[in-house]
Amino acid sequence: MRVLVQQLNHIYMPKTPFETLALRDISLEVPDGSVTAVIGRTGSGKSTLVQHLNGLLKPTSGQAFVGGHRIHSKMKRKEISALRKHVGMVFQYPEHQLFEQTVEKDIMFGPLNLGYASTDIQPMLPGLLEKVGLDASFLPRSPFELSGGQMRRTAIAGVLAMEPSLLILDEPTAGLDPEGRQDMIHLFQDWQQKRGTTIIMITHQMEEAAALADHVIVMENGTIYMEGSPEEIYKREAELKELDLDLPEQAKVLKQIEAQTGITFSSLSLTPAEAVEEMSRYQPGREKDV
Amino acid sequence: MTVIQFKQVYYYYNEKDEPAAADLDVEVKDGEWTAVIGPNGSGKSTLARLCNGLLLPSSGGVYVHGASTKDDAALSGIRRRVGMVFQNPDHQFTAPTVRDDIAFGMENAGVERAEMKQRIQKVAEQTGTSHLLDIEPHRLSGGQKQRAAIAGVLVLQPDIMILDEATSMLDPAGRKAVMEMVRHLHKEEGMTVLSITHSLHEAMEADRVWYMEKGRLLYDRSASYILQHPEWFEKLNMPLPYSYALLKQAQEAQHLDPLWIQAVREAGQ
Repeated sequence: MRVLVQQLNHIYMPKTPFETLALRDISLEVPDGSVTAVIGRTGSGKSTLVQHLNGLLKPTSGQAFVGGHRIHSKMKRKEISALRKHVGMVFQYPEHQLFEQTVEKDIMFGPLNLGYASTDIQPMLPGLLEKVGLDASFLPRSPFELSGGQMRRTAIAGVLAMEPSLLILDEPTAGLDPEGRQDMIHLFQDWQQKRGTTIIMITHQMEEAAALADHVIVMENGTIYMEGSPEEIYKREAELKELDLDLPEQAKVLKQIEAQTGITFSSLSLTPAEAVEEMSRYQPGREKDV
Repeated sequence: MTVIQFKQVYYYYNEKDEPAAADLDVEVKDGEWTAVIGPNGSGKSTLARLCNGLLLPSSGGVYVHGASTKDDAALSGIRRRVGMVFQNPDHQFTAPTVRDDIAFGMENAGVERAEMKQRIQKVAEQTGTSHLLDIEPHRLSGGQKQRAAIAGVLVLQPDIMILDEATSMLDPAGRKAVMEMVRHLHKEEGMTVLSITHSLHEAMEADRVWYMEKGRLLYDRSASYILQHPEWFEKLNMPLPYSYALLKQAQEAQHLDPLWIQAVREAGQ
């Protein structure tokens, strides 16, 4: 689902002493079927921005389009529910929102609320649980007996059950161990590749942005500070530093080698094998022989 | 000197389940920084909570400077000596200002007013929170909140500070600020630290690394040993850092100019 944001502004608590301009004049486009990472420090406006895309917040001025749905300051409840059928939102620490007696009930809560019939959803559940790395044996269990990682998977299954056309992820790997992070990234990669779901993901980890996203938006102070492919963003290391954002280790190491030897890698996201292959075609510290 | 000693500790949340902590027989030495790593659910937080008597061993004993956490008379002293900082910066404040919050523990401990003032000033300097003292905690950034929470722990002059994933909810800037402060407290002031983390970088800053799995402490190695033996990353369920993977690949490649291997090695440092 294509997302288009046009001159969007958002003011928190307008006309009070606490009035804050949280988003200023944001315009952006997310093509259908793409994965976009939104990064930036705490308070830069990332969460505020994505909360507009499922109607949790309304713009103070400006507008956004998610597919054919227009998001504007006077949006009606009905329009918002229509929008939410297509937009799945995975909040930070989604496991904090589990509440039902069984995993089955918890996953079905969202879809039932949006008017799906339980007979439509039930047959999907085993496959869905497998997708998120669990299995049907979890259905009758209490979500509160699960480990943190399993709880998060359950919460994510509840969002995926609605087969959203736009999936919004707010720091989906926060608090997970390295293996859990990897699994989570693979889960979304796989889901995206099979279904072409448009994904917008907030993250603090450049590594994750690089692994999943084809487009990166860097926010600062309620505005879009820069955007481009991960490669284009890495080139602006000095500016990133100023925003307390680090390059992924990979890009740092490759850049360092470039500086030492004069080589120019075709990309800063090369795997070790690819990097060594490019090195073998070049004499360090000398001109490239072609 | 030993600050905390675990003797044959087992802990069960539920008798029917596997133990959350098993066969823990280990000690934390004065002035050491220990990082505890391991998968989610491996028992790291259980271990931390056993240190200050938030949890009591189902069998075996935990001793802080020789006093058992099961000894009711010793417990309040132990709680003061073992400072804990938790994951969520929003869950740690009760008072209207940072200053009041830092003072809270001392008021409970009956510290004299004049001394309270002095101590607050000192910990605020140590944690870089002097300019935040009169601010309402909810107005602070995540990193500032965690530093203020640490100030509230330090002010009770603990023998050890335990950080239970204290940086995991922070953005990179907040993380950096907290880690810099911990590094300073450890190096310059000799603070004993036990930090639970999923971050390889944070773990490698410690003196020792404990790896836990299924409630057991499987490995206890120095960080420098792990860095010199990269095959250990896999054992510890940690991704091999890119610089190591690249060096390995370069060393295994045939006909690669040795200058490249040198360049890769230098870039990794």
